[in-house]
Amino acid sequence: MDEHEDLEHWLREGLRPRQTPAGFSARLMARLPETSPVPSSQTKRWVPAIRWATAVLLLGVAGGSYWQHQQQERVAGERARAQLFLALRMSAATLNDVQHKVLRSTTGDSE
Amino acid sequence: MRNLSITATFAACLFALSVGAQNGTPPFPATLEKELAARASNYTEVSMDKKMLNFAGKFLSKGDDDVEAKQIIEKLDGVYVREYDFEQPGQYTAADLERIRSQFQGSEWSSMVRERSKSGQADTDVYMKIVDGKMQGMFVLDAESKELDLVYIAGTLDPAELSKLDGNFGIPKGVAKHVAKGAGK
Repeated sequence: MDEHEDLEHWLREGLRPRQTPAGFSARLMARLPETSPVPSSQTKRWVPAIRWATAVLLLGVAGGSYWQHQQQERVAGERARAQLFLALRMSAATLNDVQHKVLRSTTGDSE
Repeated sequence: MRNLSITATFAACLFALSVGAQNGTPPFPATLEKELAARASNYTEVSMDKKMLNFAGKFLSKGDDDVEAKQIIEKLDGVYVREYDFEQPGQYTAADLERIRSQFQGSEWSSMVRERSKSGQADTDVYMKIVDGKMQGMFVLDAESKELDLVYIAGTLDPAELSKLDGNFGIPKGVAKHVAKGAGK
């Protein structure tokens, strides 16, 4: 029982509200760093610049990829155009051969 | 069960044919193409479907050849060219040619030119697909002892427009006239 009383007394004594020593607030404030979490005017000045730089960078990336896409499409288009002319020339050459053969055989028949 | 599998196979064949027709795939037998390419010493295969023709059309300039080409391809659904060069004669057989010709035996196809050599190594065929009096396609087979050329042009081919080919793309003057005359028959 005594032990319980002792513990209670010890707790009451330990948790008793105490008066802060004189000059505590002043000392605490003095120890805090001088820089405040509020951005300084110097930092504030850089925020729009950073935003613009990010926007320009994003635009650059978008423009670059668009240009690359356009380049790829142009190359593919040129290839398709070349392929078309190859197909037309080959068709023409075959038609030409056929015409010569037909003309040759017709002339041969008539002779 | 057996009937069901036959019906399914038939339906699959019909579906494949219809898909092929929609995609404008060349009517050359695909397996034969591979075989010929394997036997050839040199070969060129150019396949341009409607989509590819439209795409190429966007990149044509205002030059004479380009303008003519644009006018020609506008109504075409595809241009398919195959050229096989062989080291020696006999690298393709008469049966191979028949397999190709058999693709153009439908009622819409008419044989315009049919030339056969005794050796079977210098055959020429020109088929025209005519629907409602309009030329809807052309197929040319030109077989020589060491060379085999196949040309399939799908789409509306107006004989008058065909004459625009004259003197262009390396076509000597008069060739288109000759073909157009045949189509008008």
